[in-house]
Amino acid sequence: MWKAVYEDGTFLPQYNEDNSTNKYPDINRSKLVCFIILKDGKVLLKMNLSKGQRLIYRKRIRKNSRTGVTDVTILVGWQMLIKGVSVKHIHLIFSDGSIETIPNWSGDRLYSSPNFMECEKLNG
Amino acid sequence: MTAEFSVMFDFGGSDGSPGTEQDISSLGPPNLRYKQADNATIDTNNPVPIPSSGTNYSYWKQVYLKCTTAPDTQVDNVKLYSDGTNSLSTGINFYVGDELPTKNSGSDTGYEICDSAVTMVSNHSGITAQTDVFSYTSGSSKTISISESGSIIDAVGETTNYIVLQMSVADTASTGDKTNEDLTYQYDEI
Repeated sequence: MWKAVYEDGTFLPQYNEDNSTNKYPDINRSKLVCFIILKDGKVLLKMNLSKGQRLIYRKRIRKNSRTGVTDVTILVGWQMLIKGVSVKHIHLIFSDGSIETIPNWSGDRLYSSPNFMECEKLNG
Repeated sequence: MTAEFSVMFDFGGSDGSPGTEQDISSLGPPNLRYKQADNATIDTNNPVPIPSSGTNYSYWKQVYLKCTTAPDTQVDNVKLYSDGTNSLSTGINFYVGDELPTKNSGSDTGYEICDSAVTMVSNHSGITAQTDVFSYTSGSSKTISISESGSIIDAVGETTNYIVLQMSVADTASTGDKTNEDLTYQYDEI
């Protein structure tokens, strides 16, 4: 699960104590300073964000058509414009708990770019 | 909530109105058998005969992903790929239609009943070309489109568009049951 931390110290968890759900688009990106990925109550990744860095988050699921076995990779990172150039920083959290950081999207299945939501797109 | 999907196979009925929507996870393994009949039965009936010359075809199959548990927000960026290696043996090819005929929670207009063992190219009204399934790999996957509202899946019952699959058998093939092949579906969820 994820947890969005705001500059005033408040936070928005993906799941509330009453098990109700907050949605990813509900995150107030104007106040966001930190995005945390947790598993079983423990922090897997804590990513701090600066002004202008647009949060990107996805669960990337692969499902075998025959066995039904599913594998989940979490993509979390940011992108921003620096002197008109798009700069990205992306972490992949694999199902075994290992983490890989990549500097840009590529064509490979796990490293390919998601379809960006409006709240993730860079302004011109 | 984590989204869940079933891999579905439509058959029977008539154009634009499939008779049966089969969840293939309850079948086999294998989950789909390419044969010269339009059904979901996993058996050895209706094999594709080896021609003395030219090519024979299986009946085409129209498959898709169907949402059985909705995501918190949305699913999109659906991809399909193989392991890149044709292990079906000499003379047997596995094709996917280049186009993705329309299928969604409100429409089956892309469904075309398969009632003969002919190539899907131009015989399926929604398919004008095909590509070797094994050319789609993890590094170069096939994009599977969604015609639900917003081109996303965010509710139970919503689907991807149809993926039309078919095998061909050339005169160089040998008889017998062939090695099972796996396909992988990938998607992004929020």
